[in-house]
Amino acid sequence: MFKNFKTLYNETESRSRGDFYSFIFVMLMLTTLFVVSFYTQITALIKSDSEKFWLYAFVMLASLISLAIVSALFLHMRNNLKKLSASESEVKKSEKRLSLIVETAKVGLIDWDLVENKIYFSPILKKMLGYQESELESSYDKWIELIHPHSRTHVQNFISNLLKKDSGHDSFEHRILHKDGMYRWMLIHALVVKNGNNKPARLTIACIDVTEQRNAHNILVKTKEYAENIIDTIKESLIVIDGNYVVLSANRSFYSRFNLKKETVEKKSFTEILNGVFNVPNLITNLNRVIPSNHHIEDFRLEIEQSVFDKKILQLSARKIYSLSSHSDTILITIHDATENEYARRSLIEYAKEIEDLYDNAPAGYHSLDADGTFIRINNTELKLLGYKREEVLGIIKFQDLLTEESKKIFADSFPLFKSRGYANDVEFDVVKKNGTVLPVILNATAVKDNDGSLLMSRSTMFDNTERKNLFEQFEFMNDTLLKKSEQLEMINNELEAFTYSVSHDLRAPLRHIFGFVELMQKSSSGKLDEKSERYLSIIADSAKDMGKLIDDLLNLSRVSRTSLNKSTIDMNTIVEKVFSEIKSGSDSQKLQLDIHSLPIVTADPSLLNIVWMNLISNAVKYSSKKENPKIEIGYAEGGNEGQIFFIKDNGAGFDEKYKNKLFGVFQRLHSSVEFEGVGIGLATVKRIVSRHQGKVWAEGKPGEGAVFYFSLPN
Amino acid sequence: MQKFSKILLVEDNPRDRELTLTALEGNNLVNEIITLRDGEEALDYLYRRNGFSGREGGNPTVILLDIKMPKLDGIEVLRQLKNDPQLKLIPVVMLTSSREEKDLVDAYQLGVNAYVVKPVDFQEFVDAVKNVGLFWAIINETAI
Repeated sequence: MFKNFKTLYNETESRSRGDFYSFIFVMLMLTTLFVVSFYTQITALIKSDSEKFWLYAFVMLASLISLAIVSALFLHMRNNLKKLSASESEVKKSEKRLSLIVETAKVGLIDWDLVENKIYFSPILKKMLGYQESELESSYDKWIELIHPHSRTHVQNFISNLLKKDSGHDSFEHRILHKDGMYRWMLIHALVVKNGNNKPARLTIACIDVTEQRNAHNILVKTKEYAENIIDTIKESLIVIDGNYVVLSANRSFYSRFNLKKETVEKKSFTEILNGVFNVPNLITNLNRVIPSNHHIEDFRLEIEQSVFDKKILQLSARKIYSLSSHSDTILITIHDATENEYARRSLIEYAKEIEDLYDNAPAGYHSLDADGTFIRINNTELKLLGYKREEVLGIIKFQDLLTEESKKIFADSFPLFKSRGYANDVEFDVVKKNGTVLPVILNATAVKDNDGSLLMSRSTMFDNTERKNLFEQFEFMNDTLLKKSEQLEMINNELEAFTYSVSHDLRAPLRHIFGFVELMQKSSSGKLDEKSERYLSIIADSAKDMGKLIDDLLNLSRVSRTSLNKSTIDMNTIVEKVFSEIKSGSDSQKLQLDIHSLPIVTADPSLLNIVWMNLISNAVKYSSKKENPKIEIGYAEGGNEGQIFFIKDNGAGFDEKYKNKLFGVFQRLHSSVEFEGVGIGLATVKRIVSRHQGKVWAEGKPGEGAVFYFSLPN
Repeated sequence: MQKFSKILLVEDNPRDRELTLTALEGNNLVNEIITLRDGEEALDYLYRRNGFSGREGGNPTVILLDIKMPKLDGIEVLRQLKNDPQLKLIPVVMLTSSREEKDLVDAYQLGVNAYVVKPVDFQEFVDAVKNVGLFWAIINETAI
């Protein structure tokens, strides 16, 4: 209302002002005419005569007539002017309106007078391009220059097309340079005004900056692309269906997972694709509710079998989404392939079962106790051992409840120790089975502790100890027997010692007596007895002497076995040479050729080794004594596992190898005592001494050619 | 004072006794040999008790002691003698059939003065006895 009123007032005012200007204008014209004509008349009057009065009068009249005409013309003009002024004000009014709109809508204007070829840039346009009102030169060339090179031709074409066309307006988007150096997107709407000849007279172009819209559109496009990329890259298969189960779209994963092509899926029914694998009543029932009730399907399990070798376990989820493109509600279905997970889960279950089975049916009892000793786990094997059922034990029975009084004490001592040490090894208990019988068991345990070091539970194995105990008892019995045997042996040994003692005394005494009295008799009867009787007496004496020697040798042999070994380091060469010199002094060995090699240092009992060499060397000397050139060689060799091997070689009587087993036996002789004196105890003694040093003795020989005796001493 | 001191021979076996005496006599070393049959008699003699409480003369110059004897054996007699401050100075010679090391070691540990293993060969025995008897008789003579 107010606006209307104001407009009305402005119109009235502008009209009255127009009339006033017209009046002033007419008055000025008339005045000028008067002044001119009057001046002419006066000049004529002065210069000419009365004759010229007529001329004067004529001019006057003419002036008056012309005045009247001019006035009439003026009035006419004035009326016309009034009319014009009224229409001008209308234009101004609409121009005002337009500029108001243009200003508020931020529309820049290019007004191009095609007739005059004058162009006008509105201040708003300049502002839109970053210029002050006074700055930008309004020219066609300037305008075209500012337009982006890519758009320039398009704009020029657009304008020339527009000018050719009948319809007077069109729009076009292009880029134009802002003062800040950036291009802006402009939407131009151009209007061609034609003149009476139907020729374009004026082109008005309205410019709107659409950069932001354009950017927003770009973002939208990018966002769409981004979303599509995500949808296509994710491993989950996605499929969108409408309310009638028609597939609208699916992502790349869907196609590749099921080895399908777009054209066999899109616009097809979801229930029919893949030979209807998704046509599962329960799933369909659920899908029916998605759009109407905004129902969500979460992880619907579906096992499908595309081929014998291709079984899949799928998890389907679905929810309602609004589709912008179809402007309707659709269903987004995500399909997760849980096959691998499922198989992993199954094998895990299998593995767990296996372990459980191993635990339960192991050939040992297993259990776990809490800090109080209450059973918290127990396996079948142990339950079988104890005769209980699991539910009778777990959380109810304490381990100590199962023990005999005796074992309870052991447990009371060992359990706290176990808790602090963290383990228990081979603890023996007697447990009372459910049926009351006592079972000996053996326990091993480790402790499972928390961060503070206090016992969470034990892990124990339990073995039936019956057999072990029996074995142990058997072992103890055998040990006892052995002990008794060894005691008996010691007793026998003692008896043997007493026996040899008495032999050495009691057996030798009568011999001594025989010998002594024979000798006394020989002395007292000297010359009184005949030759025969004398010979008998000397035989008795010799026999007694032989027997004495025999007894002494036997005693030596038994002494070798009975005395303890006193080992020390000894030089074999020293011992051999000492023994040899002893023997040499008591025998005729002038012609004997002796070769003693370099011998090593050994660890042995010196006095026993002395006996060994004494026997071996005296044997060698004895058996080679009948040779022309008796030869004895004593040597040594490294014998590997055998240790150090010593030998003594002679070129004497030798022996037949088939009897060599007899060589080292007691009282075993290969030669008669007439041939070589001796009783057959020497080599037996050697063997016994070497055996006591863990060594071996052996010999090689040939009758008449000699013998080699070896003995070894282990390292 | 006697020229030769007396010898105490303790020997249970009469044959050995005879042989020993023969050996000793044959050497003409001793004018008095007292023979006793076992260890108990020997100690009785030396301590002048039981049957010997009234015996004459002093202690023997040397004691020849057999080891293996009934009742108290030679080693035991030796032990008692060597534990007696008055008697331990009398030289003791062990006469024995035994070559047993144990006897030998025991005897020497107890402080025996000589140890003679009776050989089967009588002549060797005679020589051994002679040596022992002579040695101790002379030593004793000069020492007193």
